[in-house]
Amino acid sequence: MTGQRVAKIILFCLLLLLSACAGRQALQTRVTAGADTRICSLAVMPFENWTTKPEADLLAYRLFNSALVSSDRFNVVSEGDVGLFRLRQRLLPGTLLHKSLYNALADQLAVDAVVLGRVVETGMDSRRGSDKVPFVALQVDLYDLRSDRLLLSTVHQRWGDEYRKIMHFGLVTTTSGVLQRMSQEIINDWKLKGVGCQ
Amino acid sequence: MSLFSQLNKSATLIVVLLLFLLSGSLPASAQKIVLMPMADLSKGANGVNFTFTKAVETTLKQLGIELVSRNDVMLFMAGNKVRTYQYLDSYLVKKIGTEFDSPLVLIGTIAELDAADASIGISFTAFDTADGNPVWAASDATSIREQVRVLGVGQPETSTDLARPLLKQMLAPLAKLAYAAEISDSRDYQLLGLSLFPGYVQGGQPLEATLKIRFLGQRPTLIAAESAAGKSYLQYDRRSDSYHGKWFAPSADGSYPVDLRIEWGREQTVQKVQKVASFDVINAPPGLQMEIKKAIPVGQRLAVRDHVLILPRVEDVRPLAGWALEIVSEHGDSRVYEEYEGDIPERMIWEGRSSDGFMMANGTYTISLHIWDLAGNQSSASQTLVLQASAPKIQARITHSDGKAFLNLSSAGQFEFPITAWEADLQSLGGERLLKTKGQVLPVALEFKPVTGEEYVQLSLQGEDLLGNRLQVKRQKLPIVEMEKTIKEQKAESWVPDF
Repeated sequence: MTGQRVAKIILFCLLLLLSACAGRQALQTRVTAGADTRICSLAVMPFENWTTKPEADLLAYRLFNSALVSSDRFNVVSEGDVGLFRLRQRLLPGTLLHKSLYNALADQLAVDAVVLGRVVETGMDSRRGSDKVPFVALQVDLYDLRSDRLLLSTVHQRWGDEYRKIMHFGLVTTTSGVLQRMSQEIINDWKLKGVGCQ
Repeated sequence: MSLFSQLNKSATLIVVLLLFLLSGSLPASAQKIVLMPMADLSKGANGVNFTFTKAVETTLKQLGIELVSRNDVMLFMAGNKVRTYQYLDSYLVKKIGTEFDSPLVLIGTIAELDAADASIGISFTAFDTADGNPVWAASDATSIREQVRVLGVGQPETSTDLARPLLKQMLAPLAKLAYAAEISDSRDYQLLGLSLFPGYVQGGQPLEATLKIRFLGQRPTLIAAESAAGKSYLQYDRRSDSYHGKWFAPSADGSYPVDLRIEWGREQTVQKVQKVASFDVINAPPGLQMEIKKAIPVGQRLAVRDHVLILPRVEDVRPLAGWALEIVSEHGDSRVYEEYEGDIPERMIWEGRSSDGFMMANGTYTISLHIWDLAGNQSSASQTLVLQASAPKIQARITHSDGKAFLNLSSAGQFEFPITAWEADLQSLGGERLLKTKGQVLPVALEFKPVTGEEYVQLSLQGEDLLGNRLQVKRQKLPIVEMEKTIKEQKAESWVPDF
C-alpha cells in the first residue's frame, strides 16, 4: 500500500516536470462573434516588418503562403497577382491595404478574404542556458471582404527549443523552420475554428 | 509451309498483345515543367542563387521530371520583365504554359542559407498553367545542429550536404503531380484596363477609349466596347500594343457602364466581359453659391477693412476639374486671378491684396468664383465689396481771413467712407496750446490765435472712419504764413541724345 502511494507521488512529480518541460504554446486566435468562417479563396498581402531583420517580412510571407497552399483548405491567389493588384492601385511597397480597397480586391482577385500579417519580433536567443535558438512572434489578421469586417486575429510566438522532444531531437535551429511550423500551427488553429472551404 | 506461316502469325499476335499489355501497365510520361531560378533571400529581397537552381534541376531529373531549358526560362523572364516572383502573375504563368507547352511552373525560395552555421530553409510553390494558381507547396528547413547522428556517422558537414536529401524529400510529391498534369488549351487573356477619356462628359460629346489587353495565343477577330451609346469596334494599334475606339456619349444624364465584347475566330464566338469601365454624362452645371463672412454691412453695401472669409458652397457633390478666384475693380481691371485644378477649398481668406501681394487701393471690387466640373460645365458666383483698408487722409492748412487765423481740416485721398470722428490739438513751437477740439464732420475751419512772431505751429491729429480705420498725426509743423508754392519749369537732363 505504502509502495503504491510512493509510486503515485513519483508519477505525479514526473508529470509535473514533464508538463513544465513541454513549454506553452503562445497561440491566441480571436474570432469575431457571428462571423461567417466559410472562406474558400484568399489573398495574402505582403507582411509588415516590425523587426530589424531586413527580409523577415518576405520570409514570413513566403512560408505562410506556402503553408496555406499546402493546407489544401483554401484557394490562394498567387503572389504575382497580389503584386499586380498593388501596382494597379498604386500601393507602394510597405503601404498597408486600406479598407477602402477591400471591394476592389474582392472584385479583381475574386477572393473572399485577405490576410494581413506582420512579423513582430524575430532573432536568436539563448534560454535556460542552452545554445541560441531562433524565436519569432507573428500577428496574422484575416479580413472578410464580403462583410468588410475583421474575421479573426491570431497572435503567435515560438522559440525553436519549444519543439524539442528529447535531447536534441525535435529542436528547431532555423528561423524558417520555426516560421514554417508556426504557419502550420496557425492554419491548424483556424481549421479547428471552422475557417476554410470545407 | 502453311503450318509455319500460321505459327508465325500466332507469334506476331502474341507479341502485339504483350506489347499492348505492357504499354497499359507503364506509367504515362511526365510532362515538361518549368523551373524558375531559385530566389535567395539570404542575398536580399531580389537575390537569385544559380548554384542551388542547378541542384534543384539535378534532383528533379533524378525524380524523372523533364525540365524546360534554363536559357529559355531566362529569356522568357527578360522578355516579360519578371524581375522577382512578385511580378509572376497568373497571366504570365499561363503564358509560360502556352509557350513551353508545360503544365506546371515551379518557383523556389531559399528562405535561409547560412554557410557558417550550415543551416538551410527552402520553400517551393508549383503553379498550374491552366489557371495560373498555386496547386502545390512545400517548405522545410534544417541545420547541422538538427542532424546530429550516432557517433557522427554520415553526419552532414556543409549546407550542400544538408540540401541534397532535403530537396529529394521535398520534391518527391511533385513527380506525381507532373505525371498527372494536363496541358489546357484555352483562349485566355489578361485585361490590363480600359481607360475612357474623359470619364465625365456632357451629352453628345465624343469619348475616347484605350484598351490594354494581353492575349496568350491568337488575338481575337474583333473587340468592341458596348454601352448605352451602342457598340463601337476598337482598332488595334501595333505601336502602342493597345486598342482604340471613339463614340459619342448619350444625351441623358447618368452613369453608363461599358462592357467588352470579344469576338473569336471565323465563327465569331462572342465572349463578354461586363462592367469593365464606366463614364458619367453630366449636363447641368454644378450649383455654386458664395458667402462672405467678416464683412461689415454698410447700408446696402458690404465693406471690408481687414480681411474677409470667402465660403464657396457647391450644391452638387461631384468631382471638380478646377476653380478660379477673380477680383475686378469697378473700372474693370482684373487685380486678382488665381486658377487651380481640383476641388475648391472650403474657405478662403482675402486680406485686400492683389495677385502680386501688394495692398490694393481703397475702392469697390467684385469678387467672383468660377468652378468647372470634369464634364466641362461651369458655374460662377459674384459679390461686390468695398475695400477701405486705411482711413481717409486729412489735409490741414492755415488760412487768414479778416485778421484771424483758421485751421482748415478736410478729407483727402481715395476713400469710400469718410472720417466720422476726429480730434485736433494745435500748439505753438514753445508748447503753448492754441486749440484743442473734436468733431465728427469734415471739412471744418477752426479759429485760433497764433503766438506773435512764430511762423509755425504744431498740429497733432487723430481720426477714425466708419469702418474703424484710424489715423494719427503727431506734431506736424504747419506754416502760419500763407505761402504760395511756385513750381519752376525744369529742363530735363537727358543721358541719351534725342532721336
